[in-house]
Amino acid sequence: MTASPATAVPAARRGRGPNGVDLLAVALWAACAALVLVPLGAIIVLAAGGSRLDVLLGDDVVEAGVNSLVSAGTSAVLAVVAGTALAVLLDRTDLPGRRALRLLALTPLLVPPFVGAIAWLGIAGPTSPLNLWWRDRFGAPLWSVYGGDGVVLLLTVHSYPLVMLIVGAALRRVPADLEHAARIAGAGPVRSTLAVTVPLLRPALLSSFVLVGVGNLADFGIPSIVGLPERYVTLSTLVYRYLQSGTVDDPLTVVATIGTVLLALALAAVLLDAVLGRGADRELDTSASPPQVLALGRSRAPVGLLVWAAVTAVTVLPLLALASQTLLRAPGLPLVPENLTTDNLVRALTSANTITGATNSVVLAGLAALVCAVLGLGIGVLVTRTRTPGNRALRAVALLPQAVPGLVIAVAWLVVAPFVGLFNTPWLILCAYVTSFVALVVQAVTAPLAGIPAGAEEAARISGAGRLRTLVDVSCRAALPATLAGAVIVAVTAVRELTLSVLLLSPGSQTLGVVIFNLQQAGAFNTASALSLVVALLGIAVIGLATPRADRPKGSPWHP
Amino acid sequence: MHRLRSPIALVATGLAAALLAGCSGAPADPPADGGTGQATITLYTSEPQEKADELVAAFTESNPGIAVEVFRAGTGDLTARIESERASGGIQADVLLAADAGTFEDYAAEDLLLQYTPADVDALSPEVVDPEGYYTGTRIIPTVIAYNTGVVTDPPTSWAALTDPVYADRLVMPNPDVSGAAAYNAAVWLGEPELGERWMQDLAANRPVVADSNGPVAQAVATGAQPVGIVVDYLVRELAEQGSPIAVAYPEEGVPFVSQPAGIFAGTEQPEAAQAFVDFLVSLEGQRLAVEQSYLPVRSDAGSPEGAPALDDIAILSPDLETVRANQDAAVQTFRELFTR
Amino acid sequence: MASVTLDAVSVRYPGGALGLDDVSLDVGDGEFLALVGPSGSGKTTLLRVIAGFLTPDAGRVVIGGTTVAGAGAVVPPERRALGMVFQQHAVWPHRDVGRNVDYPLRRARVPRADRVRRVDEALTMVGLAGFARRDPSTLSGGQRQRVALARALVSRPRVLLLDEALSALDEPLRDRLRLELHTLTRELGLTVVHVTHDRSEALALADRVAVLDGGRIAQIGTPDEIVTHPRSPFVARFVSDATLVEGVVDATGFSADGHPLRLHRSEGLPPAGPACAAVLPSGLDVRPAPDGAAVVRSSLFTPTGGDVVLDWAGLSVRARTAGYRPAVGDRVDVTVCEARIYPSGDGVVPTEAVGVGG
Repeated sequence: MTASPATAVPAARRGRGPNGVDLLAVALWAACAALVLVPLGAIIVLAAGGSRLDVLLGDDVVEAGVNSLVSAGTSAVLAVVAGTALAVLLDRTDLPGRRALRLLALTPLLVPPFVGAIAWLGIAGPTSPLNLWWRDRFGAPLWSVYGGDGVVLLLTVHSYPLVMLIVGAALRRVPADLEHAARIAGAGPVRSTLAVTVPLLRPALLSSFVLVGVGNLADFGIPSIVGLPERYVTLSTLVYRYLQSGTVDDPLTVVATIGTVLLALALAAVLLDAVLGRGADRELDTSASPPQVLALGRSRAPVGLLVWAAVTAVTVLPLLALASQTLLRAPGLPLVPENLTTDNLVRALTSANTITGATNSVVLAGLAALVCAVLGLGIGVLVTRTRTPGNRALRAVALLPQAVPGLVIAVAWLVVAPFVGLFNTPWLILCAYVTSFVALVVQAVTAPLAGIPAGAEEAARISGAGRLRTLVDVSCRAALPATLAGAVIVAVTAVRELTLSVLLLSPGSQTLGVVIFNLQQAGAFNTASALSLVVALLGIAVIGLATPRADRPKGSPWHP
Repeated sequence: MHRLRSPIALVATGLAAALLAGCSGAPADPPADGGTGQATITLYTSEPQEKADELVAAFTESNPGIAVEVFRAGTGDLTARIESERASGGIQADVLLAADAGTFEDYAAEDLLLQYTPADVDALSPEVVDPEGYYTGTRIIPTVIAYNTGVVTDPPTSWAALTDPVYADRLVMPNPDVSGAAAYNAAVWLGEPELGERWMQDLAANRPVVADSNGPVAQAVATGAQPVGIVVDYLVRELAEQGSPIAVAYPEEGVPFVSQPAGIFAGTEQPEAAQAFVDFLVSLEGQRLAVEQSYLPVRSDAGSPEGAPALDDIAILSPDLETVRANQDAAVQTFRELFTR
Repeated sequence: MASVTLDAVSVRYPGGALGLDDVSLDVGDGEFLALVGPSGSGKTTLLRVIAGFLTPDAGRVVIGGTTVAGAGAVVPPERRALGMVFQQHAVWPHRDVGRNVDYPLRRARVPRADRVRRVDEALTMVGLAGFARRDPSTLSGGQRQRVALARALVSRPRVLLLDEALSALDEPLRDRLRLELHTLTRELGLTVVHVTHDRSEALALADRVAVLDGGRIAQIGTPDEIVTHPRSPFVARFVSDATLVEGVVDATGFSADGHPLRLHRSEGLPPAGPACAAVLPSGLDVRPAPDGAAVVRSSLFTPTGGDVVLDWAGLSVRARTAGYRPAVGDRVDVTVCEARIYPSGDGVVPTEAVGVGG
């Protein structure tokens, strides 16, 4: 990391030397430059210098690109539809068992997508019990999860909970008074929802679409596990193949070119979101009155049954399928008691490889959480609590990677690695984690920091604290709980991560995700399932216990 | 060659030590091995993970001074990695245990390998030992036809039979881009006058599923997803032993085999440790382990795995290695054009 | 204790808006000064200039004889030795009461034993003895504001700044705290600058009141001067809810434009020309009359009668009635007993005039 403090800090203001806040700003800029701007710049430079545009027009890349766009776009649309429907049903109607249903519907968020893919093979793989039964009866399997439709389905299943959370939060921010006003003005419940609430949700719908679309564009686990067997290649699996098997000349340049195009696409999507969303993001007053609950009336039972069935099918069934694969002694055997064994589970949990992978993942995720927490809190405090020049730019740079597919970040670090001596070290994965996840902490701390009244800091200044001291004693301290929450999210995201670590893999740095993926790739399906089951259940347990009230708005500590 | 040996492990140990120290208030115990004479070698291998783990465990038991770090991937992925490591800073591996002799011939030609003839060379089948001493075969791995006994009652008995339209959409085979054995096989098939490119085209017309490696192929056959597959024999034996409805058919034209050779990279900083590892692979103890792991051994005194035929009982396709090696890249290319478009 | 002097201070906000326009002001040692004015008039800006959160673009700020802003000096807030209480109390929720109050002493590196004693003293002073270990979230709004006050007083500041310090509290708590604040600051002899939008609070508490308008001081004086001798129509309207009527002054007196209001000539009327009459609610005599010239548009209850808005020939007039409260729609007769007439344009000393409406 190099910075030129001579130019970045107005030298020795009034002879007293640069103040602490300016130094903080310089340090944070240097960190952001090293972690975000340099790698992303590097792939653009490599792509521009390599002139491998010809590759972009090759059949393979065009086909993979179309597959990526179609699968990401379709799954994002479906996820927004499903997520919004669930959010409205769970938040605004008298659907039976809403609380339990809500927790259940969120579980796919807690299961890594590649684990979900492995689980779904047990439900709708060509030799799943369902398909075998159907084949015995009608001669052909009912529906196989392999192929493009399976990729879209699984991407949808793993992204609708995020939409549900975003839209649900937006829904709760729409003051009930607004709908009440429409009701008083003579509109029925449905009309008032359509005329008042839905238009106010538009920004949330749009940004969840972009968020989910960009995320799905880069997903590796799902298309590689359920797409490749039917030769449904997406950009991420293509890039993986290029990098791993050297099936093209000069793979890094080719991959950097693909990455640059993806980067441009993702940024275009974000800009579109910003342009379309502008003006729609109206300030809403908070409302004390509880929202109007829409009575479903006679359709309550059938709708409830349908929603319960659908949510159970996409959440509980995969886990049951994982469990049955885990307990089955050998593939191809019928699921009867004498064929069940816990050997796979024991083997999966005790193998040296699993332990190494788990250790690597925990250490890398822990370090990533630590670095992201420090960096994210610093950036959050600087941009929300000071008027340092360049704050908007700093915030934009820190949040940028959120819009960048993980694939591109991985490639960017591969390009940079040899120049910074990180090639073939696990620290490369750590760097990519920090690049990808620092935005999570910045976002987590922004709202609480913005909620600190100016008086709280000014009181400290009047009490004799300098600017930096005030930021540390008041703002950082007040944002500490949010920082910790953000760090926990970073840690759980990183510990189950696959896309980055599979592309940045080096000897001795296999992460838990890579271990499972390799087991799956090597055909050890039962062991892979066993490990997947453990990871899925642990994820649900840890996040479920750690954030029991995560989806509820909390009162600000300043105005309890 | 630079070394940054599992810094994560170091960090983890450091953290654990700090925690322990914090708990007990006493300094952590010194490492069990006393910290002297410990050598670490990195093994790149295409062995299945569990087998590699067992192998390393057995080796470290008889060589406590040597730690082995395993990096597992398909042969194609390994060679790509070695390629990119050469380009940026040097090969990380000390020992390569993978795939087919052709790959090793290529590396030997580029002076990347250390010449080493293992201690027990006289006990080994001569055909797996490189006369120049750059590599040594460690197991005999024939590629065979596997079928699901629950679905297929009349198994195909020749490579040629697989082109029969009854097998359309019912075949599965590994990708030569990833699997070294598959790449070798492609070259052998293309070189066989009775099979050749014509046969490959016919096979492609049956639209076989191309799985990345042999593991998923065996799984697909065992579960019946595709009831017939082209796969290395030991995987079939293992699954059958566990109870899966899967069996082997040996094609009458003969089976190609690879010998999973081991070689030492010239840049190694631990030649003695690497040599000890290669010695162990072909030692009686190492070969007995291989037999336990369902492999056909490279020495006759190690016995043979349960349910495996004697090597003499099956027809072997073993064309001239030089020819195969010369044609392998083109064969993979042909395969890619025929099967994966 | 210290005096505060502002000398020709101007503040321009980024974007060009003028925050303060050439303001000069002296707050004497131990004086209680209240700053009032409509929102955007610059009263908070003025306070923040004294506190040091805003640096004036021109002019000088002197506290206790030391120039803290202007003439090349910039003393940051933390070195001005001030105390301040904010509207939203700004008690830090992550520190207990004692550690909130203790903070200025820590920054001043006061030894621990001293700190404990002084925190106890400060808490006792604001009536919160024994609250040091309490979590602020367990306190009521009034108690929190007392904690903020203790924190502002604990380091014996040179000047106490109050930024709408009572505004967030509900009546009658606000009234009680107002009394306590007054007693406390007078006992300690503190120099206080108190910003409020509550006119009656300013008049009740302060030794002197400064009325701000558009970044300038419209008038500064004792509460009595401000009420009885407003220097401009603005002050009259802002402080006393006067109705302003545009018109002209000629040889006979003041005539309103397009309205029957006439005020007879009296002593000290401004020279002939356009003028503005400020009619105080208390300067009107309102009597019920079935054929009166004005109609009651609204009528609010007060302990002494009614607080009414009249439609008087198209002019909306605020007035008080004594002893009775008319109903909306009633017709009344209006007599102007007293009005203040100001020549249009700035800077001329206003003149009193008495007249009778016709």
